[in-house]
Amino acid sequence: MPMLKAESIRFDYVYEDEAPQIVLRGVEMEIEKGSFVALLGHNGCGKSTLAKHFNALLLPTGGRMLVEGMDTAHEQNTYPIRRRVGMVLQNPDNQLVSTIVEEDVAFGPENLGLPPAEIRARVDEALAAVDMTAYKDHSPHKLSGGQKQRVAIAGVLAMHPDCLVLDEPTAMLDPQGRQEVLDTVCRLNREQGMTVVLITHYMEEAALADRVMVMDEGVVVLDGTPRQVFAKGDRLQALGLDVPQPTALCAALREQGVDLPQGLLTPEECAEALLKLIQ
Amino acid sequence: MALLTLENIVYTYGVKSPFEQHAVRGVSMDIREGELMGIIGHTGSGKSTLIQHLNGLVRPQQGRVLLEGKDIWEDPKKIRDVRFKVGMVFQYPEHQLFEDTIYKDIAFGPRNMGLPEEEIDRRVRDAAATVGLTKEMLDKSPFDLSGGEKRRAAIAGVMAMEPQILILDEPTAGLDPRGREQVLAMIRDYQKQRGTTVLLVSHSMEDIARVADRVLVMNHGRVAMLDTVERVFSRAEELEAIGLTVPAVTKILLLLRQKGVAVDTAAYTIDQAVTQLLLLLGGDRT
Amino acid sequence: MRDMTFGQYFPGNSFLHKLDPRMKLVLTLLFIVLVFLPQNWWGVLLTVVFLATVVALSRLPVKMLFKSVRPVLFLVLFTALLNVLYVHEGTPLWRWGFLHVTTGGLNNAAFIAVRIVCLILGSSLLTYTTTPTALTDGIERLLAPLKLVKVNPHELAMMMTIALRFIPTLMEETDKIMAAQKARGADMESGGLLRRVKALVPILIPLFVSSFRRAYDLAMAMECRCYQGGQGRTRMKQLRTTRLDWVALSAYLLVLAGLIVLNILL
Repeated sequence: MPMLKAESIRFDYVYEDEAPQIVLRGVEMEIEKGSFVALLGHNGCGKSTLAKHFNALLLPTGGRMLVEGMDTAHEQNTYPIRRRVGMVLQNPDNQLVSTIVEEDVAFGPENLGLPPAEIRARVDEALAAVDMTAYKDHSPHKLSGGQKQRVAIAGVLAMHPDCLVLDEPTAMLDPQGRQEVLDTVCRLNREQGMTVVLITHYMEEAALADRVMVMDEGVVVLDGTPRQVFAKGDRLQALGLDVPQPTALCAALREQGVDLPQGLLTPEECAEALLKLIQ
Repeated sequence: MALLTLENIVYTYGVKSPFEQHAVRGVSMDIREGELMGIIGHTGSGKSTLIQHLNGLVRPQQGRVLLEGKDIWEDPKKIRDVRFKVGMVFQYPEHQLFEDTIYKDIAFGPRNMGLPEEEIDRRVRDAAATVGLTKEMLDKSPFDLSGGEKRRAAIAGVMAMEPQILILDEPTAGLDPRGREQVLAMIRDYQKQRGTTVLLVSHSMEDIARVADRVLVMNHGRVAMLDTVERVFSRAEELEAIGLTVPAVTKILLLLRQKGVAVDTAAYTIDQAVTQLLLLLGGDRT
Repeated sequence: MRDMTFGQYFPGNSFLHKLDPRMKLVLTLLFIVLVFLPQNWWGVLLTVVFLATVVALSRLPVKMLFKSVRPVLFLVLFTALLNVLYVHEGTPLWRWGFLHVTTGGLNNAAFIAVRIVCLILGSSLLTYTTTPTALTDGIERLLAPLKLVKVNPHELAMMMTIALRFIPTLMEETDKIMAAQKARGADMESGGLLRRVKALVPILIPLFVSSFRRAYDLAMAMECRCYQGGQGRTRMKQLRTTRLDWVALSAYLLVLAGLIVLNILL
């Protein structure tokens, strides 16, 4: 059973006295358990709206959204789904509830009505998983952006989810904070088999995923491994996106007749391929 | 003569308290007329505090800020005039929009300058055109614009004061690739067409590499480097040592050099790197 | 302003820090009674000795504690002054026009001033030794009986927690917006009252807009984390009354009894 399955999802925002605004026009996708998917697309392409379908914050106006086989449209599924699909939002300041880090992490499990000892154990474990144990008694507003996002991730982990959906978690962070968050997410995916859906505008971040999906005008238009997707530089440009710089460099060299393989993503890969050619 | 000169600026937060924090520890530098200077440094390097000295939002505890040779704090009552000459666009400037139409919001600065109505109108329309906002958008409420449009409207609000120096703090933060591209192109065009001095603070080395003439690197409240883009990025190892990255193409060349390839690592754009690498890979292909 | 720690909690591990926040809240309220009960200086002396003992037990820097009096110092002095000037009992000491100063007036002024200072010190002991969260928790649980009259103490406490969490964030935000508008020539320092009020508009509107955006985000984040109100919710940190709490209460009762005796005897 896939973790997430979208069956031709449509979604319209309906305003009074105005034509409804169609945001999703039949999204089809399946995300396997344990995979790491990057979701790309320019602003307004519908990716955040889609993400909100993953944990029943929004319900499709057409089609079906299944989370581990549970239909989000059935009300009795709402909370079981939200426990399984944790969500981290863009602004690190706006998603922490409590004035103390560990109490914020406890917020989710407390809502689940778990016994105090169990909550304590989960909070300690979640803080350790994001490497924030040393800050458990701190006040969130004194932390850096990257640290706040890691606390937000811990808050989700403490609910023991199967899937982590991150909606531009690094957009407001400095390079160091971005790196901290990405390292954490990658580690959770690799070591704990956590399914990850990462929405981002940074192509180098998408290159870390094992699958990249690109949305445009409310549908998925490209879907494949980062190599396959980033090989289509012109198409991405037309969709308002970029390719990672190393990929762009290789493409430019290939145009000059240099025999480089397609879809090299990181500086390391690129340097290695060049080294072979030079020697 | 330099347009703006900093003489040994020192600024410490929370002096004599347990929270004492040295933000700027003796910075001296010149900003030249008409240049586009990139400013980099990680969070806490003092760059934000430093730029707030340039338009008198922060008063130096030691040292002087000279605009066209004159100390901006000579008459503290006239500090507002300095802010019109040194325009500052803060991070996420769209959050400061407050008027009910974009037109009125862009007019806020020029109106505070006490300009006549026709002049205000001309400046608002000029600035809107520079940032690529259409006439119809001027009558809209800020809430009806997209994120990228709001950002450009807020930048126009500072440009409309027609400052001699324009400072932008992370103008592309949080935008999608197309939005980033538009804002960067707009800044470059503005600087080319008007010859205004522009200071651009950014975390993105790629952005700095694309538009700047000179780069200021801040570290621990001091100037770590201040030089042309080529020379700053050719010191990639030092940049990495102070926790900064270099553009990915520079990184590739560095990796090659580490493996013993004799390559000039001064390239920081894709075009430059292609030229460098084609030289290595044999001239027959060029 | 940026370093203001809201709720002024001072970390520690003293007897006072360890008390159950519920007991501390109740005792603080009861302490107010204690302060206003004495009718003579012996009673005040007993109260001061009691307070001094508690302060010593809290192991807080005394200087810092007295700082909390500073904001209300004006009030203390003003009340004292009124007493000096308007109480005309005892021996007259000084007279100038309609102003009289008498021994009775001075006595009264001192009597009131000492008690107000005690009151402030006593209640700031509560906020210095209790984290805002523990305080909110304590209030939530003390108010639990209100459920009977359809007031939801959980919601009240949640609102307090969120307010405490966001006050520093919004203060920082205000600084930023002010700097940004000043950079566009906003003038907040000069002009008459009306002009100054008008100059606040460019600050307040963005602040409201951003607060709404934050509230919207936060509500969504809370929903994502399965928040459904107080129902079925458990807490990680349980409040427990220990023997310490009963010792504290007994000490209080002893002092109370002493005061009553002093009032009757003298």
